Amino acid sequence: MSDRKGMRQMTRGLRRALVGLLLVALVVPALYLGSSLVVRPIPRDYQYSSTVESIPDAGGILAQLGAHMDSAQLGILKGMLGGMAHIPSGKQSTLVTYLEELNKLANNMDEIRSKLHDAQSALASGNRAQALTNLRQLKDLRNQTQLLFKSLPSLLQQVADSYEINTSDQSQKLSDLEAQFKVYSQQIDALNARLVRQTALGETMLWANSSSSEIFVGDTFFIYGALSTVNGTALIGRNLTIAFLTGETTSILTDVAGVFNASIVLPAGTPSGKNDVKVTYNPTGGDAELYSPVSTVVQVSAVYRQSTLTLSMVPTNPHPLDVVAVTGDLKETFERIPLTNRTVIVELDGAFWGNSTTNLLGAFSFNVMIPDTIANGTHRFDVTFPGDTYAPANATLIFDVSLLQSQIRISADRTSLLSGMRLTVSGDVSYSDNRSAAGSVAVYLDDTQYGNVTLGANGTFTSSINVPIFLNFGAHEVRVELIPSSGVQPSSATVGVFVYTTPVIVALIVGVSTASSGGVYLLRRRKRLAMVTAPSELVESVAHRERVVVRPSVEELVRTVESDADHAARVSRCYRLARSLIDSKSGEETRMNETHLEHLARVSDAMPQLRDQMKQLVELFEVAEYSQYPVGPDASKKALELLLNIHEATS
Amino acid sequence: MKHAKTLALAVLLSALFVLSASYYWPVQEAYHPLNTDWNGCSSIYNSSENSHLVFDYSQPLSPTSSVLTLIGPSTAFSPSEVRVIEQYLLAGGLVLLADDFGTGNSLLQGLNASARFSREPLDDLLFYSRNENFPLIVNFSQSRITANISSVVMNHPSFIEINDPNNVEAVAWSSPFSFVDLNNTNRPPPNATIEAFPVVAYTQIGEGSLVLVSDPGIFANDLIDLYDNSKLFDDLRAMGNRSVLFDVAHLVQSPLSVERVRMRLGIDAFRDFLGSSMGAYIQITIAIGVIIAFSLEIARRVNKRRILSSR
Repeated sequence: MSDRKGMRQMTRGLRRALVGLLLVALVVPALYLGSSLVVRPIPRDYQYSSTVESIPDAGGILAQLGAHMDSAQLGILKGMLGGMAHIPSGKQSTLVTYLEELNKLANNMDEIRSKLHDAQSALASGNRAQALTNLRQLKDLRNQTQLLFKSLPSLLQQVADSYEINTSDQSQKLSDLEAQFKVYSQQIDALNARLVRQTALGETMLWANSSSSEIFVGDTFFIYGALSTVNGTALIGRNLTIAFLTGETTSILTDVAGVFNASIVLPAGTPSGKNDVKVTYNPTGGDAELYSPVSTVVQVSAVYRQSTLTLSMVPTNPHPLDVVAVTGDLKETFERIPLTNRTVIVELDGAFWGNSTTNLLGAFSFNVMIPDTIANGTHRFDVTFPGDTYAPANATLIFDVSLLQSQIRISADRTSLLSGMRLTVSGDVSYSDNRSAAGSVAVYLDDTQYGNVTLGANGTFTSSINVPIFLNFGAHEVRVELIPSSGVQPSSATVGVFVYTTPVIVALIVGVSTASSGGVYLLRRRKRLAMVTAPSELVESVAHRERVVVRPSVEELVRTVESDADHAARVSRCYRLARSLIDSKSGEETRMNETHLEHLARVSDAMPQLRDQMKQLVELFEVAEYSQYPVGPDASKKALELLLNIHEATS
Repeated sequence: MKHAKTLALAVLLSALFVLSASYYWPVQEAYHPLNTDWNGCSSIYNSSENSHLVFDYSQPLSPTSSVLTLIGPSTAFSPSEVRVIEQYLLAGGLVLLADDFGTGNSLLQGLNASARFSREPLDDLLFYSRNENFPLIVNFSQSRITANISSVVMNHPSFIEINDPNNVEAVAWSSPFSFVDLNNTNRPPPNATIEAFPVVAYTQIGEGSLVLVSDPGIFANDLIDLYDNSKLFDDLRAMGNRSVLFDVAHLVQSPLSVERVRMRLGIDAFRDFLGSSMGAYIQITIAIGVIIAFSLEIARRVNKRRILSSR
């Protein structure tokens, strides 16, 4: 009853503890989070996503604009309204519309002022065409701006109505700007009048032609023509400019009849085919006020004469370091005219090698030593004539370079070995032309280089390799490579060896030895522990195959047991003596392979009266024989006591 | 014994509950890189592949080929912190200091920079989005910081007072319709100066650059996707070789905030590791180890029982 009450009290205490923990688990985070809310400062930002659109301060905006709305500050006004395109599209109010139109007005006014200045400058420098272009743009701008001045007042009135503000100041500013616009408009009209007047006075005519429509580059031809006013009056002694596509120019003066005839040579580099030759008259000085500039184009077709390159070499299949003689000539293609004193560019396998110059016969020659670094196989010489007044030409010479073949013979002093041992590899190297090889070879074991060996007089070599102690168990390869020397084809040879990894062999031997000896030891120990042999004190005297057992006295037993100094040994001896006594009593022979537990089971069945005492003795025996626990005098004393009891029971 | 086990389990469950609440409760500090709310900076943090949090300045900052972002600092910079940042700048680092009414000036003072945040609210009469507190910035000069940017929107910014234009170069200005809203009425006070104010500027310190932005809200989640705000951060990130260090040491801190963030990052890193191939390999190894250990224990117990029963 009291136990049940105690349990109830314990359960109640446990419940309280659990509730307390639950509260802690809930309250601690709540306190923490609450404190974080408490310490959060006043935000210094506003939440954009929950902000509504506000009504702009139209009065303030127009007042700010009005401060800069005059012709002297058009640039500032433009800058203020320059970002109008970024105003959010949702804010399309009458104010924004008005400001956008005002922005256009400011831009137009500023551009009109700028282009008026440009046009006047162009006119002053005689660039009438530029002035005319500016005038056309000015007229367009004026038309657009006039429309803006018509729409802006009504837009401004809408702003005044929408925002209920006074816009009279802004209206006044608009009027001031319109007054300035009228000034600009008058200047545009004046410019227009001046340009019209110049056109009527100074129109000029220029015509030109060429002596031939197809001209060889470098040959002389003529550009001729005449310069006059539209009325046919020859313009005498005027300077004309003749310009080519290459950028080159030449000048010529008109004669007393206004005629010109220029002797021209098409320069090298002129693009082949149709070319425009531009003849220009630019009035200078007083002429600039009287005559308009004029130009005309004559089209001529530029043609290059063809050239041909031929090429040959001796010998045709060289070895490295051989000197080959390369000869060739450069001639005009059709009439075979030698092209003298021309430079040709020589390339070997695409890399610049050098230049050569043609002689009076158009021939050229040069010697080339085939480099020792060249690879076996096909190579090429490319000779190029870059062209001048003759078209470019080139020729290619393909040739084969054959390297000397090499052969390596190799052998090892053994085909298998333990790792860590030394392996000697020897052999020789020979060339295909029966020459003795020279140089050196590289020795590799499984792609790891173990050094270079210099070849002997007859191309022989010998190399020793210390096989690494931890090299993998199995087949490996020793490779000898001829280190490429001048003009010799590299080669290699291999020989296989089988490597027994020494640490693995040692580990295997040690492992097998340890396992087998350990196994034997464990087996024997088990047997020894399981067997309980009769003590020597109870000598089995076997004579004539008859067994005589001498039963010891109590004193003999005590003496025998106490002859052992160790208490564990005493316990074991007590057990063995007891077992011998029981076996003697039962008349059975001691079973060699019977364990102590099996013996106990048999004794329990055969002699139940000894079961308890024997069981106690077995437990003491187990501790003394099998465990690591120390066995003290109490245990040995108890064992002796049990032995004497058994002695008495079996008497 | 039974009760002791129950109590231990309850303690364990309570601890797990507290830790789970700490982990899953959102970070709420303004401008914090892990704050996913409107006033946090999680968007720019998550969009930066190579980003790290700076909890303190006890060690030199590295690598110097990155951008250190100080967005909305609220606690003053100590002399030792200023020294670390100065060393970072001298070694070629890039520092973004975005502040309006916070403690950015303590860093500028420590670095002896020729500019200060005005700590006065800047509004705009015409160029704004939604209302005057969100000025639109459309005036930029050509620079790496403002490449490909035509407009950004700010949130109740201040402006930058440049004391020496030879040392500090402004690269963005508010519109000519902007003014200091001292009365917080969104209207210019009488006789107020209405003009363009610098809002983004930079100065060279040693081999490094210090970029000043007079509003931290420009990089907050609420505004980062509007106009060219994200491009502005992209430009700075590109200047920092796409490596970003986020300062959290000077943000407004709730109690245990740093510990909570560290725990959260640690758990996230562990979860990432578990998802990696190496993590999977280790998990399999541990599982196999546990299975073998259990098997051995079961075998031992069976053997013991057999010996006892044989007696």
